[in-house]
Amino acid sequence: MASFLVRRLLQSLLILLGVSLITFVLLYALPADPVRQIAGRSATAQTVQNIREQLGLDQPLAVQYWRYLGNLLQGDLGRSYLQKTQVSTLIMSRLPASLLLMAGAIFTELLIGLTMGVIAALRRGSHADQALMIVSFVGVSAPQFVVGLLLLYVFAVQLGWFPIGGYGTFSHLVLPSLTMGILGSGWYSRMMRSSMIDVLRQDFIRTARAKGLTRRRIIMRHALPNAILPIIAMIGIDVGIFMGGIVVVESVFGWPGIGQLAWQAIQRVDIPIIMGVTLVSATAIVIGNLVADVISLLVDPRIKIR
Amino acid sequence: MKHLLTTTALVLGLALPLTLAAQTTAMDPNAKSGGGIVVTYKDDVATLDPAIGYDWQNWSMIKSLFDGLMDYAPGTTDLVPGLAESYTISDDGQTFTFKLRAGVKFHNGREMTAEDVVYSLNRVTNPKTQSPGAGFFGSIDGYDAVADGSATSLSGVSSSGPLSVTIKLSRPDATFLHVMALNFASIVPKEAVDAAGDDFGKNPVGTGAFSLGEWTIGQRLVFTKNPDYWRAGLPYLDSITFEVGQEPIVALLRLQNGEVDIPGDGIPPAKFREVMDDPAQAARVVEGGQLHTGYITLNTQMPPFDNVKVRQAVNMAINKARIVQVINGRAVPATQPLPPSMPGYTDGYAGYAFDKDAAKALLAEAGFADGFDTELYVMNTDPNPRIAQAIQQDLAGIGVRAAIKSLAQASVIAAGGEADQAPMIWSGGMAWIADFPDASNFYGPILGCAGAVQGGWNWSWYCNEDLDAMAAKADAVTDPAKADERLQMWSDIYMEVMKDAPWVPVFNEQRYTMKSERMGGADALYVDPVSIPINYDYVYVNDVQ
Amino acid sequence: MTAATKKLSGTLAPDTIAVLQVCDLTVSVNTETGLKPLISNIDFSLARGETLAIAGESGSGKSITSLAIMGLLPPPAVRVTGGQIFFGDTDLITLPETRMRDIRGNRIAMIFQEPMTSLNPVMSIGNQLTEAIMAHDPISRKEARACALQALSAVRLSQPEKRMTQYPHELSGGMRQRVMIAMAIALRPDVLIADEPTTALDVTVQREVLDLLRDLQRDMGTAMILITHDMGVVAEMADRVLVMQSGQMIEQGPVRQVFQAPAQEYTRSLLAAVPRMGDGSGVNNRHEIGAPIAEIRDLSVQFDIRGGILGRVSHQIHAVEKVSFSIRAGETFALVGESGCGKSTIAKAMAGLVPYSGQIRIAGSEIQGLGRAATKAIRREVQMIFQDPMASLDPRMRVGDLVAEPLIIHGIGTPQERTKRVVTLFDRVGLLRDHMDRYPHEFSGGQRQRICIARALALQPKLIIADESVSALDVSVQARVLDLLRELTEEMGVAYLFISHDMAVVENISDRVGVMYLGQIVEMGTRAQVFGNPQHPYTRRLIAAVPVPDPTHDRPSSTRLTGEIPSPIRRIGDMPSAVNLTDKGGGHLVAEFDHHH
Repeated sequence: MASFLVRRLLQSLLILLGVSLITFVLLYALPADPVRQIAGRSATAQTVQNIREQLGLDQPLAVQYWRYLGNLLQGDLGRSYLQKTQVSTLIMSRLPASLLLMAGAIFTELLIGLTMGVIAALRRGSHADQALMIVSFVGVSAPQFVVGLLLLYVFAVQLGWFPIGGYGTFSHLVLPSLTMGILGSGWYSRMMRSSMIDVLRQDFIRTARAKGLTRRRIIMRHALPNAILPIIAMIGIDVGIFMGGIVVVESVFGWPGIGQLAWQAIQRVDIPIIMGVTLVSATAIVIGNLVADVISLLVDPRIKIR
Repeated sequence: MKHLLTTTALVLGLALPLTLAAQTTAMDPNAKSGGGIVVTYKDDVATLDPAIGYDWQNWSMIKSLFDGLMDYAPGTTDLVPGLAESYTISDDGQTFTFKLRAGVKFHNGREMTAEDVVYSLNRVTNPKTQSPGAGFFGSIDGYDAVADGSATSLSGVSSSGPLSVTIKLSRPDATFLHVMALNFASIVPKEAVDAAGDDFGKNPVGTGAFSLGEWTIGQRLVFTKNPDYWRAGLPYLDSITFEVGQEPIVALLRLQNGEVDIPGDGIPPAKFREVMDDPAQAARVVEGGQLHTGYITLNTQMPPFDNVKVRQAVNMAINKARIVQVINGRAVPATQPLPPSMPGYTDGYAGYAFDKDAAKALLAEAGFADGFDTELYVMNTDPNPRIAQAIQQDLAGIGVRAAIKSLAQASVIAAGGEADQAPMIWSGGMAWIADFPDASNFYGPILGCAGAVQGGWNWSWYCNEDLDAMAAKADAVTDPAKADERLQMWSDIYMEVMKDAPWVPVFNEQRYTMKSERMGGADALYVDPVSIPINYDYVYVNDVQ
Repeated sequence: MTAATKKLSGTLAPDTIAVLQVCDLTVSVNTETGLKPLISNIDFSLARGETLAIAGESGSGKSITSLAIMGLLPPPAVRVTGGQIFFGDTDLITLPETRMRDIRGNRIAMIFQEPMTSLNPVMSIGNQLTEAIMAHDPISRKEARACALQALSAVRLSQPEKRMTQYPHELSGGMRQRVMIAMAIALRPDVLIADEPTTALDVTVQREVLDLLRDLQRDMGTAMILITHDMGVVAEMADRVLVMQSGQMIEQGPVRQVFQAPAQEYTRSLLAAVPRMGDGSGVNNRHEIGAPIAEIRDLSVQFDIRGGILGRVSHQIHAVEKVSFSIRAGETFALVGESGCGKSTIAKAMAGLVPYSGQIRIAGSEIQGLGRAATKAIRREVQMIFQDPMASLDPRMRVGDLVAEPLIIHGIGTPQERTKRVVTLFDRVGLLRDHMDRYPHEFSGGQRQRICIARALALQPKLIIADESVSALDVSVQARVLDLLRELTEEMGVAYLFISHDMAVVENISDRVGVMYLGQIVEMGTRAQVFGNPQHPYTRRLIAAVPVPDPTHDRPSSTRLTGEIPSPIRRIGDMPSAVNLTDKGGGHLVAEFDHHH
């Protein structure tokens, strides 16, 4: 186990290094010039040149990247071009909110998605199954912006059950988690349904029935644990999908997470922030996959650590 | 001869009605002190450092935390002295002597002195500060030496006593007092800047009506009333809470729910009609002009736009009234670069009227009877692509086939800064909003030769040496008595520009500020031309005792 | 109802107590065109302590019968549409599900064909056993575990305590089937239904399991329904046999009677098709045997297992270890052995599908290190036929195109010539011309295997590698395919490398035989040498394990086989010792062995 973890961590570092290099190259290949964003409209060529030199942006790309890596190793993500603040400060002040939302969203999507998937699989071909799959299809295809606003309008404005956006208490977390969770639950219910149907066809389910077990026990003890195995690996991938949706949902609900930070930074070509958020997101994805692998390892006796 | 000016306003250009001037001193008799308001924004506040902050969101916030030597009368474009009690201008118009108010205290309790003024101007022009506004101070003696790093202080700025500052210019500059009213010219205390280092933008200390109470990144900022504010009785509000990260549409819902007082990003376009059609809500919307023009640039160095007839034809081809409809009528059609509320606007000028046939004829005259293919660059956020489509249709009406290039803001700006890349750009989302209410502000960087350089903002690459000379001449007119004469010169300049037609001025956006029922104060405060969305120092709430 | 009751009294022998009575049972499936019977009018009774074999080929309905008794027919499409099943006095068909559940696994237990997939992979063996016990017996978990342990001991599983904590994947197929049996007998059921319990097992393991079942049944007095396609298993195990075909009961009677004097034509043909193993002296093939077409020298194949932080190779699976043999033109050389012995790996190496060391020469040229064109030329000479024809035929292509495909790949002939060739091939393998436009799913298993053979023949290869090509087929179909293969040798002189686990089939088709064990050949010689005079203990063990389709055959009871085959996974540097083959005369090569083993 230890050797597996060490190996995976080394791999993860390589992945992160790759991500940082690719992002760096892409950002500097952009036609937009960050210096002009900083210097403003009234800047003279002299001012622009001064700023370029101060930020080291006049150096060759390789030199800039090497410097960035050097600072990164010391835990320094640099300073925002436009906010002039430490990127690490900006990210750390927002990361807890995003992680909380992620936890809430994953909980919600698993709760809704797995339940729906199991019910649909058990009643395969019935009206309930068809209805659930239509719901999940809507969940998958509905834009999160619209879903978020709809939930906000119904449950916060009309019914007043939850606050209209914001951050701080549990009730603030419900609607954003639900918005993110509806998309995910659509995916999970479909995957769970097909996985469950697959497992229900397996010989060991027939064995369990031949043993004279109750339907409930067959589903809970035999079908579910097996059907859920392929889903676990998806949770790791899901972290990546989540990072995509976070920008929209955070902005609808005024959730102070890193998605909004990233969005603003992209608008303003604030490269140090974009780099920082990308690396943090990549780290989250890498960790998410690692956690999913470790869970699979713990629950599936067939997977051997090599 | 020296003009001695007291607290009565100095006015450039506009005939100042006395009633307005009175507002600067006279308090609103209905105003109540106390209470707090909630303002929402989508984006987090980037910085509150007055030398750095240069977006319309933090512009008004910084204005309430800091003061400069000059200021504007609330709700107007009228210059009034700020931290300066009075000032004198030398006969040649190149030496300004400011007498500072006594007893003005920074938020940290220390009294402001002339040294702080000198420090602040040196700081903003120092390249290390990386101020986007440094260029505004280009007319101060010694600016060039500071800009190229060979000096660390402006030779033209000196204190002549604890409450007296003298500023020498290297050339006459009629806009200089406006420059001194810019946020960039705000007075900051050296010890606070030194203590905060690069993080001064997060720990601002000024002399303004409010001080920063709390800043939770990504969530909220709280401004609290400065009890020692030098304008006695102001501000009225005890606190302002800025909640950031709020989608405009959600902010509107919260306003309707009584949780928000001002949606800082305005009424979302999708909800505009709904709000305006509801009399109860429409009553709480204040409409006003703003110093904005939306325009299409025609690259005068790229064929066929190097032909003035083609540019004029395009001007005639655009149906501006229809484009205004695309944005729900939230603008007025424009005829010239200057917006109507800007001093120097040419009244009675009709511009190029919408006339497809005349446009076609002109195009044929230029040798393009069958039209031509071109590209229209546009920023990719709503409603700009829709506006671009309307423009595309209008162009198709005269046979010009324009392909729309919808790109991120920074990419469009970059394309505009290249001489041979973008034949046409729709300015929406990046358009010029005046830094200060002076006619000259619409010329230099965006129509003058100085801006027609690589990385510049003159996306038409229009460079008319004669007009540049006229502009220089106009801005050398520093005698307040000749202000009207100067404005006429500017009016002439813009009329000449229109003959060459490097732009198609399309519309001037109107401002619509929505407020909660409890908010009080003159409507002008809610469409203040220099404080967007509102002038925080003068508004109040009605539900306090 | 009255008719059924009458029949019931008619079949019941007065001196036997029937524990299970199936009367006039009909099971139907709901299709778009209405109810379609899968089995109809099945009648039999099972006496206490008796073994009844239900024999038949695939599709005969024997498994449906057993599932109907268990109440496990797949709902809602398949259901009982007539008849009764009496367990004692209880009619199981009308029994509510909750009461049926009490009987299932408790009084009537079942063992399934696939031991590899019939156990829950993420539940420990112990839990799966105790769960079955506790579902019926209101006892504590501790008592249930004791009971489970007892059952594991009863099925002669080594280290039963350790097995309790293990998961299915840690056990071999034979061990898993023992676990299944333990689960079934733990509550001492009155009836045990064994549905093809040994079909998926190697022959030596099958022997152990059959012995075990017989012993358990004798000790516990359980009545058993044994469902099988293997007439050898029927002959060895059953008291009575019921022969089924296409959902109909054909014949029922005591085993000796049915085997010696089958009353029905179908039973006769079925028994005739069963390959019988003799002493290797069977009819010799008439064809000419020519020069060597394939020569294999010191062939070794190893697969790496990586481990550690850096993913270095720490272990190797020695799948094939220094194997040498040759196949001559027109000859059928069989490789026989149990699963994992390396026989299929040799086929893959010869087809160029796995890297190897040593030499493989086809038609005189070493296939490794040839250029692209030469490799392609060699590929023409060697064709493969696999076990699962469905998996090797693209379901979206017409079979005519599938057969023509190798011709197109190798750029042979014009489209017209190719079509002509395909027609000839279809004729040759016994398919109709109008079959050419159909898709693979429209054919039966035997027909599909014929399509694969036609495709293999398209390029007129010198050697066909047939990897378990007839293993999945019913005996009657199998017999016809084997006949076809034999005819092709005689007509075209094609040589076969015939890979099989089935000793009887190998004895019937091969000219020469190599017996493989743990990646090595332990005995090799002509059919007569290997089957008539087996020398190596493993060869003897294999031959002895094969069930003989003759109820009068007296099996020597001395050789009770136990133990698992050692693992071919070895640490790096730990090389297996190469066996030494010595000629016992006439080219009969036998590996040296330890006589004490």
